Amino acid sequence: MAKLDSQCLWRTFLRSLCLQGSWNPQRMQNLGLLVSLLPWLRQAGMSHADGRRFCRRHYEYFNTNPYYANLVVGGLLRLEEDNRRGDEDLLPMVHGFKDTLGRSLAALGDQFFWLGLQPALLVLASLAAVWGVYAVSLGIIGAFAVFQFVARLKALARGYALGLDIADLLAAPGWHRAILTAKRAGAFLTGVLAGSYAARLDLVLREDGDRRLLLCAALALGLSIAMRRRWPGEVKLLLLLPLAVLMTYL
Amino acid sequence: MMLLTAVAAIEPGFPWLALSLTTLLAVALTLDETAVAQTWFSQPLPAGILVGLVWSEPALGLALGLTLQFLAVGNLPIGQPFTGEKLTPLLGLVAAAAAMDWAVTTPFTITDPGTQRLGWLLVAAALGSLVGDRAVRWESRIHYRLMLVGLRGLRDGCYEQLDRAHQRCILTAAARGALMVLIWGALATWVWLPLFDALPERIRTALGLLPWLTPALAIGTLGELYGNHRGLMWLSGGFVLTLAAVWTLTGLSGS
Repeated sequence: MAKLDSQCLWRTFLRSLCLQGSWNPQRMQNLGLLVSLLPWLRQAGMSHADGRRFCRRHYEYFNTNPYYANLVVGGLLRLEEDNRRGDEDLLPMVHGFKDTLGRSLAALGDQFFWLGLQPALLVLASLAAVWGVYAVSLGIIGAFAVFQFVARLKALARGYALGLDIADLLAAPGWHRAILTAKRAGAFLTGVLAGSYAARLDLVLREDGDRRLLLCAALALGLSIAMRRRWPGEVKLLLLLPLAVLMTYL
Repeated sequence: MMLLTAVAAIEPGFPWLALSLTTLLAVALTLDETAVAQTWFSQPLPAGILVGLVWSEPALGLALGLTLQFLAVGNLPIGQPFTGEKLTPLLGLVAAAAAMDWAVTTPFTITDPGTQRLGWLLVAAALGSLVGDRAVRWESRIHYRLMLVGLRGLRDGCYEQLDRAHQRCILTAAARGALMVLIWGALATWVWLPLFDALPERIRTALGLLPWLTPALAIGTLGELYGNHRGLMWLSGGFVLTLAAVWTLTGLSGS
């Protein structure tokens, strides 16, 4: 199995953590991608003209999920390495490979990380904070941080080892199982949050008997569902302030 | 450190160390948000706890961080025209509130003046996030210009120019974090927090309700996110099980 040498692997890995450091609305992660590939380019000892062509190839539009990006980075390095060895002319494939893989991993990453794992873990950390154990909240976030560092490092090595065969990896059913599990966990934890919230409201209403709180909570829930996710939470909160003022007249 | 010692000698009562650490934290977490690593320590809850620890007021940081987290939990970074910038207002407000000994109540316990103060901080953080969103957009435009500088460097055959352009982009984000946290901290100390005492009683009562409404907003957003048939099944399961567990435990402790 093909391997990147350890110095190049670590340098590329560290730079790939800053993939979104120069994110821009026009070409998105293009500069971050190219900067991640530079340690290999410097090590490859290409001629000046070849180096410029390399940079041109990878300075185009690029966007993917940052947690899966290293599969693309590793795959691209392998493609460039195989091309440099002169086994066959792989350069015409670079654009298609980068674009197709980037889009597929972006879709998978959005589904798994942004719509599944992130809400689930953040609700779990919030529940721990509601119960007053903030060290657990920090522990959950810390565990995710370690997990994603390890996963990104492994993805880089795996992407390089697989090269063009990464396409087969995308067909594995594990991706969809993971997405489904993360989303179910998110839905279940949202239910736990709703249950904890209802129990808290019940407790406070029994103690100080301010029924306006219940009405306000129902309004907030209704507003949030009605406005869907098109509106950010900040705007919803600011809209609730005049409603809360109106409630004080009741 | 020498600089800190020098300024501490000039103004002994001023929390220079905590302020410097807050600025450093703002830089690190602003970078973590998008530019570097994305560990989620920049999410409002952990960020609030961390800045609270810096000011020896973890409960204050947790109170504002948790309520802001409920606002942010459904704000996902995909296909949205708005991302918001909750981090620096959160850090600045917690720092200012801690420096001014502003006591807030642990959220979701009771409604009292402490909850009203938390509501006032929450409104400031929401407004700050809306303003900060514009700053993030300006920063993206600067990144674009720097990216074009890198492209020109490429024409000259200079890879170092690419590295420098990338580093400047990261430095821009770091500078934004440091600058914004100081601005929010100053505004909170001199304008926003003193303004609370001048608020009419009715507004204060309404502010006391706000922290209570943030979980409802989060539940509504997440309910909409997971609102398909199977998702609702899991959501209902979690809801019923939690209520059953809480009521069983309360019943047991009551008897």
